[in-house]
Amino acid sequence: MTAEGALLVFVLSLSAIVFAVFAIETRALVKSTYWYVAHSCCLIFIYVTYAIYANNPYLFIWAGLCGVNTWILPFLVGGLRYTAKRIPRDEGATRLPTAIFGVTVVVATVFVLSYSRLTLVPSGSPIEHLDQEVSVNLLAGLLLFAYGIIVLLTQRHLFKLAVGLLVMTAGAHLTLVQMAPGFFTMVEIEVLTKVMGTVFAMLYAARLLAERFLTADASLLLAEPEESPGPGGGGPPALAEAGGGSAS
Amino acid sequence: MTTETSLLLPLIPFIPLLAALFVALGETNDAGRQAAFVFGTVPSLVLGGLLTVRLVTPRGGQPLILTAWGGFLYADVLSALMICCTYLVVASVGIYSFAYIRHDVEQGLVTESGSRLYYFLLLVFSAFMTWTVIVSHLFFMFLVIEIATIAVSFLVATYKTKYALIASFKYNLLVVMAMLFAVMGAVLIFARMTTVDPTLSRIHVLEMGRLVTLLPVSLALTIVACFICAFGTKGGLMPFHSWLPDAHSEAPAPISALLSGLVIVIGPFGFARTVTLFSPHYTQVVVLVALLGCASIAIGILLAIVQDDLKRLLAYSTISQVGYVFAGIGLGTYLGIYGGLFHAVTHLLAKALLFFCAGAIIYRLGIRRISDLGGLSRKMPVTAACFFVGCLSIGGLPFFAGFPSKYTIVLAFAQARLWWAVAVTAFAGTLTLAALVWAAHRVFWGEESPKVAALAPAARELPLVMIVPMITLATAVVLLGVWPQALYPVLDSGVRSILALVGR
Repeated sequence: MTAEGALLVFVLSLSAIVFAVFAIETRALVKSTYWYVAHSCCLIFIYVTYAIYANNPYLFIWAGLCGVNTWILPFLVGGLRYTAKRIPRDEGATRLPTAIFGVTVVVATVFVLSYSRLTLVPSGSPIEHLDQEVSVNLLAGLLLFAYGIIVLLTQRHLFKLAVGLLVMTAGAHLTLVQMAPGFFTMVEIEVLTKVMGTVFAMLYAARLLAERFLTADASLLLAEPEESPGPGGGGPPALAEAGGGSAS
Repeated sequence: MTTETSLLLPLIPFIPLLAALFVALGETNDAGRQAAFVFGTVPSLVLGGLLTVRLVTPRGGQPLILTAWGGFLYADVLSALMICCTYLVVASVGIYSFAYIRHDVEQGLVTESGSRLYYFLLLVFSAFMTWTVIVSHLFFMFLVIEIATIAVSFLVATYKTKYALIASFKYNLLVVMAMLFAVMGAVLIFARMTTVDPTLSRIHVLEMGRLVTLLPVSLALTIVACFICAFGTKGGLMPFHSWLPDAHSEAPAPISALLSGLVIVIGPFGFARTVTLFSPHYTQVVVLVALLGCASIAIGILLAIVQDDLKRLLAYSTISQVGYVFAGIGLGTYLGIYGGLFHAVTHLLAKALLFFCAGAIIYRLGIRRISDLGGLSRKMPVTAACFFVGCLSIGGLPFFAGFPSKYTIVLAFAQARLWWAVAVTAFAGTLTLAALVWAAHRVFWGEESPKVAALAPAARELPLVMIVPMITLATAVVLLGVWPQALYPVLDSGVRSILALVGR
């Protein structure tokens, strides 16, 4: 990878992170879908850049698959945009995920600089020289993964949780590309298929809940007891005693 | 180690998939769906049994691995054992559901199409559960786990109540989030492997053992942490367990049995395939897993004691019991892995039995609060006896299946000189027995509660189709308690196949 290519990937990675933040922070869910599309487009360009600069034509297939995914997830019936139009917007959105993410970025950068050095172009195999140098692009991939986790742990809106899961997946993919740019595997098909199925299942559940209870906010859903519980009495999932936050 | 090609391997998951297609596309009534279910699971159970026999008794005494599709599928004894467990539990759950789901349809809790979807998803789950244990490509393993997860999440949401939908959403979210940690662990391994072999296109599960020693310590521990998060969540290990009580209590009782008996076993299975490979080389891993296991054992049962909902009590008891399995397998020693696998099997049988009994009470009375129950033993004697057998097994009383498996794990702790773990398991074991027997007493032998008295005409024994799976499981629990050696050849070969991966 040349310095020019690495710089291009760095800019695209930063854009992917910024668009992911917008997708989570925006209260209007349809807009959030479009921010997610922008985020996903950045990933496509990153794969294409790697395909050209790391001389791995297989990454063109990855980019193509990511493109298909970028169309299917938001625009297919039952997908992000379809659901966004049918469930209430995220009125209770807080800036907590982004604030925590900001702290994470600072801590991670300080940590890397204390034990290693940040480079734009790694001098050898990124994974073999982790104790000596960390590329900024690898750090960006890991931070995107971390942002996904933060969103899943702090968000309450079911739609945003699904987007958080997609961001986390993108982080895992980006890390793989940074760590082994010359690899040859079918990982993309597998991982994408998996998360797509899960996200569609989650969006379906979110839609059903929003239709019946007029909210997709987990904290509001759990605040009121159900009028007609399930067989045997049913009951609220005791989230506090189970050690989990609402729906996370 | 000898390798042979086998056509049985792809056939086993193909049969339930075919039956699932028939259920989904055929214009079948209830009887047609039930017949399709039996034809989709029982032959696979028989084939799984044949596979186990073939692997346990190889020609020439050399350990045998069966492969298919150019090594894409493989099975050692551990895989074969998992296949047998899968179809035993799924067949029991399905047969029990014949009456249970019909009853729910009559009550208006499930629609006719919901009933069709139920059997379809059960069959799809069993097929993909089989794929999970026979696929050799690590990334594909994650994929099939997730398809099985999606099937289970829809099963959890069968009643489509608010809490069922939330529990299903939460289960999906947490498990997929966890699996992304596993993907991250696999990414790190893959990236390291490509530096050794740049033409590499997949991570073969069987090849991971030799790689472990090539990894720098910090990277190895990061990978282990990723796998612990992933498979700990899937298996309901504390502190990754928060999906488990909600999913168990909101799902129909047969699905709770499936969750507690089978779905969580994917966690320890994945653990045995990944984390156990690191244990012999890193003592930190052993201590960490023992700590997490013991925390799960102790806190799980403490939370179970305070529950008034019978299904939630059993769910928290599952969190406690799964701690034994993880801790045993995580030790990475022969005795530890043996005990862990053994306990996975005995817990699977006993907990499925207990959830069937809880389902029997819900089926007849529609009550699941322990404080609303009492004096049911006179009206439902078989259910009471089965529940008691299950409690004694989970409690680890001699002559019941849970005793030899728990005892082996305690011995493994002692062998590893983890005396604090021995103390925790002994303390938690006593609490478990007390909690479950006390619950059994209050539900079946206490004074008849006003609610039960009001529902007196409904309180009677179950139909035969629900009793048969319960009695089958109760018999297996007692048989394994008095004759634990019956599983020795299978477990011994299973443990050796795991240890062979790390060159031991």
